[in-house]
Amino acid sequence: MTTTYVSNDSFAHALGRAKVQEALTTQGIDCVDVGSYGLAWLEPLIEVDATSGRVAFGPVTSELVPHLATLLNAGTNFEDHPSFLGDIHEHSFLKSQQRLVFRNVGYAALTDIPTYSTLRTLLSREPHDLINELELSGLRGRGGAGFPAHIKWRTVADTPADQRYIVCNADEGDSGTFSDRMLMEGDPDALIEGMAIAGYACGASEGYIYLRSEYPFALHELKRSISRAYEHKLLGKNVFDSEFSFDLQVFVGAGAYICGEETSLLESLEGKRGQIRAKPPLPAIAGLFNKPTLVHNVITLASVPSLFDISGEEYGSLGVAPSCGTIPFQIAGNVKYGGLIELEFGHTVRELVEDYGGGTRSGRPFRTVQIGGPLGAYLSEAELDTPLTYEAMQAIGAGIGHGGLVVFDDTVNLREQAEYAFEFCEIESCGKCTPCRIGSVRGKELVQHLPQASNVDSDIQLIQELCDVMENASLCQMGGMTPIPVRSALERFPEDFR
Amino acid sequence: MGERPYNRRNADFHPFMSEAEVRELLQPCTNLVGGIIHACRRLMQEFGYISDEQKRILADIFNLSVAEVSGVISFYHDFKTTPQPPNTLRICTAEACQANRSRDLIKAVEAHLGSSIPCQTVDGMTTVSFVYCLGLCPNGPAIEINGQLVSNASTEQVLTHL
Repeated sequence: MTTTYVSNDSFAHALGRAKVQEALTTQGIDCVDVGSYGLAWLEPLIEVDATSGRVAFGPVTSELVPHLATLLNAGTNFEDHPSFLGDIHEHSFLKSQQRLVFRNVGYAALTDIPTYSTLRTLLSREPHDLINELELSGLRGRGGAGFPAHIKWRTVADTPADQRYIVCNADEGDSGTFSDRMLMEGDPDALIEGMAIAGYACGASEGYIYLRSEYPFALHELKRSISRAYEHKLLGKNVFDSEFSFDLQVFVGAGAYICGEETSLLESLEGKRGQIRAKPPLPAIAGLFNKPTLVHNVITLASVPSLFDISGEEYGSLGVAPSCGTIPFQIAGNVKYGGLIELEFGHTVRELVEDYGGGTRSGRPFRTVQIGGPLGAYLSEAELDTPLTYEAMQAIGAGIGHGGLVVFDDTVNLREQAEYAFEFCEIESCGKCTPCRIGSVRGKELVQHLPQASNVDSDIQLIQELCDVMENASLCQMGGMTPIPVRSALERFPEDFR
Repeated sequence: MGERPYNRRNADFHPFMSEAEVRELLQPCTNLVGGIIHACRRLMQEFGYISDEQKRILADIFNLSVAEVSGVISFYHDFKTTPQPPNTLRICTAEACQANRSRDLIKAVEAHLGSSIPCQTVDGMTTVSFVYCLGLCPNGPAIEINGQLVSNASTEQVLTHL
């Protein structure tokens, strides 16, 4: 009997993986859990070993399993199966991608024992040497801000302290983003190894993964991988019998979008209300329990092993400097083919929406795409040719954020979306500063009232002024960036507001 | 996996547990970083909510005032301070699901319930609430029923659970 690999990603679970698994077991087929390749419309996706390599099937339903079992027993004519896909790596959605951070996701079995070979190699080098190489790579924070990673690492390493921390921000709350989830569910060891490397480079011996509570499957995989790493002495005291020790724990959040903001996250991790802290001091100088703390998003930390594998210089040559390397984009919303697309920086929005996404799922005309989560801009059709680099997006008043793209067809009403942006801020504001706490409420009311307004122009003027206040006077990016979706909608789609 | 939001070992939603037993339950949390959040989660799993009496115990264990404990609890969407129905149904309200008509789904469900979400079903057996993003964004609308994820949710499908 050939080995059968079944996607264990949340995508697959939400599309009936449990029933498929049951049907496979009934047929006497043993399954190996793997992550998802990120072709979301093909989940649950199954691969089997064939003479020519692995062959994929998807989407598989429980009804299709008996036929699959017959073919598996015969070991031939796989292409007769209605969900036959062939070699998934030859699929046009996957073939053209440049997968570095996601190199193992989908392929590697979750039960495989990791080697952490990159960490092992790097432990023979000087910590500051690693930070220099990181600088060459040009890696920037993938969580949204795009801050150069090496500056944070160096600050943490150079700040005198008896204790330093590595904190992974796995509070992936943005709509349209799921790369952190997929990575943690499909290759949690990449993250753990990346955190250990960061720990060695920065002189930190403790790490925490702050995971949002909406991701129970990711929690399961992280816990499994962490305890396995301890068992194999890849974590804990004297990793690989070196002087380096590193302890890692998962901390589960309790449902608060704002805890994705790094200072709010640290407050929450300390067991407090997740209210943000004023900066400075930066967390790299005084973070968790006032100790130097490296806070990075999942993808940033998980990029570290692959980055050192190909060398910082090589990584830095990818993309369009100073937007270096690759980033996992996520295309979602109203698209035919949604999922995860890891590419170097510089491809256009249109390539993602049209070439990968294949247009709208509803078949209706495209209207807009929101980039970078709930605090990201709504773009017009004409802006689709903008290259996806931090700089080019900034130039049109938008941002890459966490790399999520949400496509809308022509049934969308941008006034409703602007209202939602304010409402979201109202619900999720930590309440510490007035522009965000009160501005969001007044903003929502103003946008809500527009259809009945006697003087739309003066109301829009008022909304713009409110946006100015929120942008300039909010303590953090929650209030500071809420005006981005609102203003982009107002500027690009004024007809929806009248 | 697919855990229920809290343990239903007892048919009763809020089984009696002595103060000593509650303290014992929370003991492992006291050594953890951010222990009070772990402790609140533990109480949520066991009881489905955190009572006033338990707030007092938390305050004592973590050397905080009851006001500080209440402050922590009220900040997080996951923590409740009143008894909850045994079942939960959460509908994603995030933009990616809106792009796939979740607004229509929500309207239909609210019409069926006769009240706006968040609310409980008339029989008091299910809490219907919103969730902001389940990370299933290409396959919206996404919902979660007692911890089970469902993609491409239809109105009919949701109504069968209400």
